[in-house]
Amino acid sequence: MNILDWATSLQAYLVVGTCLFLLGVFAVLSRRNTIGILLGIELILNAAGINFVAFSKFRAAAIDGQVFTLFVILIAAAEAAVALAVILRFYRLKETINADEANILRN
Amino acid sequence: MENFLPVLLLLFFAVCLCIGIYTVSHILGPKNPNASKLSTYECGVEPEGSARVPFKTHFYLVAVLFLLFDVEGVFFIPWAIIYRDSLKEGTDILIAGGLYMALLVLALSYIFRKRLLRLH
Amino acid sequence: MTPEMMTNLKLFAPEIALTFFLCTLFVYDAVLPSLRKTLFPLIVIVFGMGLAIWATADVATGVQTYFSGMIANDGFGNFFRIFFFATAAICAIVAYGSKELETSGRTEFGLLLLCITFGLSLMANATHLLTLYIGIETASILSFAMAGFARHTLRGNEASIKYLIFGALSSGLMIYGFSLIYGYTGSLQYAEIGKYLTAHADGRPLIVLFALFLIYGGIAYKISAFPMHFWTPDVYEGTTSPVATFFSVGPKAAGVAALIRFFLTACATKTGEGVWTSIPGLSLPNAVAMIAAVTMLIGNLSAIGQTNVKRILAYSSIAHVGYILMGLVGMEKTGLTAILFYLVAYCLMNIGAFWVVGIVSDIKKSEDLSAFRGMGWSSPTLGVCMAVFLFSLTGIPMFSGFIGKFLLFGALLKAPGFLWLAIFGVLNSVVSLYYYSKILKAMYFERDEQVVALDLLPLHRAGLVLLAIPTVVLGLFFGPVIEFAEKAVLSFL
Repeated sequence: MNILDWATSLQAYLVVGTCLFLLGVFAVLSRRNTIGILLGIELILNAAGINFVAFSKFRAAAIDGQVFTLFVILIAAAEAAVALAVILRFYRLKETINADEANILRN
Repeated sequence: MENFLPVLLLLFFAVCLCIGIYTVSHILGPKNPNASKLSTYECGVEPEGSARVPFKTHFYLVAVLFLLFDVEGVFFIPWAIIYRDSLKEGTDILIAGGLYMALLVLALSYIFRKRLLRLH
Repeated sequence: MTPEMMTNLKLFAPEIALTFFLCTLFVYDAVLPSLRKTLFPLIVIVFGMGLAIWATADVATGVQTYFSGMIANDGFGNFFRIFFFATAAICAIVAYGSKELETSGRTEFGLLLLCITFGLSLMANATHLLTLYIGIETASILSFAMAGFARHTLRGNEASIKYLIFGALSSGLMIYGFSLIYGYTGSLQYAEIGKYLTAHADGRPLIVLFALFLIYGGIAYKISAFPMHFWTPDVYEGTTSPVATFFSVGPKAAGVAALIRFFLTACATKTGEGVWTSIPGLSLPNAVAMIAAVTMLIGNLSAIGQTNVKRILAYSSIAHVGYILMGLVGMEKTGLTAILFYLVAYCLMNIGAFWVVGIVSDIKKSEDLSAFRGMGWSSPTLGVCMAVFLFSLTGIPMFSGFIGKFLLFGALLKAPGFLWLAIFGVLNSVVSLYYYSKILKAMYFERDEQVVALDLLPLHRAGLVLLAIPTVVLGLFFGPVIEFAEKAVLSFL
């Protein structure tokens, strides 16, 4: 069962983390929908969380990584709360959540 | 690894069952759409107006406050797990937990005082 | 209570005092809303910051880490604590003199300010990646809210969105870098990371450089260094002036402190009293020199064509970060002392400059260069103070900005092989003279068609003079501050 052995090794978790990270970065950089951008940011934070937990299980003796992941989830929640409030105010003012419409301040 | 094999089998069977039932009904079922069959279902009443109604943004506030206090509650769980054993080394754990709870109670009392959770 | 907990709480006393006054504001806002329109929140903030500064002086004994090695208590950290508390108090005064902040929202502004200061203090004193992350995120998330404080205007909201998206992306990248460093070294403490990186200096995978670059990216976003500086002009232009005042001083100093602490503890080894050498394979001086050069260049060149004074000041703050990073190149105590002195001088002159812009935009409703026409004649105090701040920002001799730049160049020349950077810095200062003198030209050599009576509050007059005087005095009597900064650097953990 070679594939299943690989699937519970450190590498598999890191691959999942990297995929999530790349998808998240792609989502942030390419989407015009501000809530889509927020989703990308959440993907990036969760990728880091997966990395932390995986490393904590396979590399370090302590549970530092898992504690860090808890804090990452907490701060991601707070960030999403503030971000959604700002986006909601943006929608109130402009009737759209297209990020391209935020274009008054430019060079 | 062997423990996970039944789970994988279950997953496979569930997916196959869903796809199978859907495909069979799609192939064998009659196709006679008409207007009243395709309209939206509204518990027997005729639907009127658009389905998208602007909702009060106050709901956002309630949802976000729930989210924040929920995540805060998550941090109580590790504290509660080590509480009894840490009490043997002194009242540190009680003070730490008490300060954490005091800050959150302060935030909660601010919310209650400003009546932010009232929906009417 | 165990003695360890007593030590923890005793050393954390300044932040506890800050939290106490924060809770006082919170409680008074909820219980007695009628006090919002008075000066009460301002008094609470200023008194609280004064108490916090006194508490910092009280705990400034011994170099140690507390909270099980997560926060450091050394002279370097205490310097920055006093810096942040003083900056918060001054920015609170600036905010209360400004008409742009609605009267009813002032308590929330004070709350946000105090909380961000708490985050900044954590950032500057962190010796563990978790504390650094909590500090950065506290400061960032609340800054998103503070940037959008003028929430009914499109500009304020747009500033907040741009800041938010950029900031969340940067901190996500930084956290991914943290996870990779944690995986490679097995620990989150700066000291342990440093030990592991030194011990395994050969055969280091490329991923470690990538992770360090991501971590640098996260901190560079806070100090608006290259490559994460793109948000600065838009956000500074869109927010209200008091908010821009605080942003240009507080998070920058905290980011610089966090950068110094992380990269000197985790990516360099201390080889002597106030001297560091980088770990083989991670050439810190070259990287910092490159970044400083590019940041200076971008800041100064982009400021040339601007007509909005807040954008000019925003680009100039980017350039100043470039100068500040020059002090880190040598990785020894003269450079760090120069950075600390420059931060103090920069705080005074930048707060002053932004305050003047805020006053002018309150009266004339515009932040363009044309709003400054004839200011020097219609309001002598404003004109002279702005001239002092601008001269100091350029680096004209006998102002504190000149002494700061002189110290930075001096420290740079001590490190062999960076003469090109020093010459580059001098050229950039000359370029900056051009756009600062554009403002001075508008103030003194152009006349306004309609003369608007300028009524400055006594608060404005007193405050500006109180900021301008140290700017000049520090240029002449810089000894005490330099000695204080050097003592702070020598007691770096």
